[in-house]
Amino acid sequence: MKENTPDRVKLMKQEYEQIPVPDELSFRVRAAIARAKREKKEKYVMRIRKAAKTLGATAAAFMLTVVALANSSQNIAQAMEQLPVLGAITKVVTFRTYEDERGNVSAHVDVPQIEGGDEVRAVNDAIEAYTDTIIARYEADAAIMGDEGHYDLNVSHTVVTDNERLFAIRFDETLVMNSGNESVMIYNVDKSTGSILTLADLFLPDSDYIAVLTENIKEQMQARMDADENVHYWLHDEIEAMNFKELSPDVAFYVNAEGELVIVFNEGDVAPMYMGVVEFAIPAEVTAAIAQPGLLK
Amino acid sequence: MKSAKLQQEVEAQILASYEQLYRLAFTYVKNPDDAMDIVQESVYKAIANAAEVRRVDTIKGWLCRITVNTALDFLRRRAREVPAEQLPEEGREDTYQDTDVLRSLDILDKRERMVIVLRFFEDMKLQDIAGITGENLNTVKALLYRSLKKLKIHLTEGESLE
Repeated sequence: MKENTPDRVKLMKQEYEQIPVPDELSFRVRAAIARAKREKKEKYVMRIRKAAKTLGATAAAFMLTVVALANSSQNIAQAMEQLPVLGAITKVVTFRTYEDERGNVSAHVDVPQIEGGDEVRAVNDAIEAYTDTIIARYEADAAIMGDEGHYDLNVSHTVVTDNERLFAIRFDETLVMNSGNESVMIYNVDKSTGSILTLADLFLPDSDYIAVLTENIKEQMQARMDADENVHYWLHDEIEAMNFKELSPDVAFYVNAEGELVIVFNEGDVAPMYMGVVEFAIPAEVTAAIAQPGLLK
Repeated sequence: MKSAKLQQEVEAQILASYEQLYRLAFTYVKNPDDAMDIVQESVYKAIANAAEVRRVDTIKGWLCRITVNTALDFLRRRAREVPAEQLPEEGREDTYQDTDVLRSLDILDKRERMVIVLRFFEDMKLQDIAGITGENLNTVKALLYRSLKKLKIHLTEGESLE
């Protein structure tokens, strides 16, 4: 009786596989693929235009300043780089630059170091290990691709936090192959000790900061999606496994000028790739009760 | 994973498996024209949303899921438009392949049918099926056992009639 079932299932499977497929299907599948690709391209261009309109004013003004300064004098550009920062950390210098170009494959990675003696050695080691990893990966990829592919790697850094207590240096890695991919790495340094801070260090021990932050980020995602139909995060996606459920304690973060925590997600982490790197500033009142005094507002 | 690369992967998977998607759709709508419409619409959705795929090895299941959802939407829409008893019977006869397999699947409800098709005809793992249907593993197992039981009863009756 029971062992009869697999045979019946086998027979059913044979019949299933014999369901004839019309010749026309192949053509219709290819037509659907072509149409989707075409419309996607149009939609993408529209989205960029829309974003450009919204951000246009500020971004243009900012870029103009930087470009004007950089172009007007080589010395000014160098002077900007050497501006001393306050506290235990004296300044950030470009320790070395890795540059490579072979046909369509190229890389530019600035490796900065923080001047501050032994106290910041751990940070400098971490930075160098990070950039070394990226460079090694580039060299391996470039060797495989030879002259065939397009591959452009760029790693730049900015100081995103520099207040009495905290210092944070942010690395933006842009990898352009057929399309671009951005990712972010941020090192936060406690100036009083010179050590690298984790997200957990910003909060009181035993506080459930992950739950608090997760909750607030979910609210912000929903609010942004409600406000703009072009914004999409994986929050209620039909593919349940992709949805943002809980913040990882290893996520990139920094503290902005207002003393608020900013969480930074890499491209593709919590939203479709076209959303790029996404950031959420957590309002001070959300973290006030559980924050480590002196680090967050 | 780069979005352009993902789209290429999705496209490759579609071209490799569109005949399976067609058969899957066929078990729901039971005629070639509607099944082709459903595959076409599903393929369009898949390319349009390729960026949402997380891992390359889940693409096939994701395509099946889109196809099943599209087929179910289609059936719901049709049910609203034309009350079932008014469906032109001879129009369906022309294209309906009244094989044992389709008759057998008819006695299963939509969830049971999907589990049987994916598990036995598409040789998927129960865990992957759970991922596609959004049910937990135990529910999928329960559906499978219930379906087999139903099928066996049905098939046994069919045999005894002959």
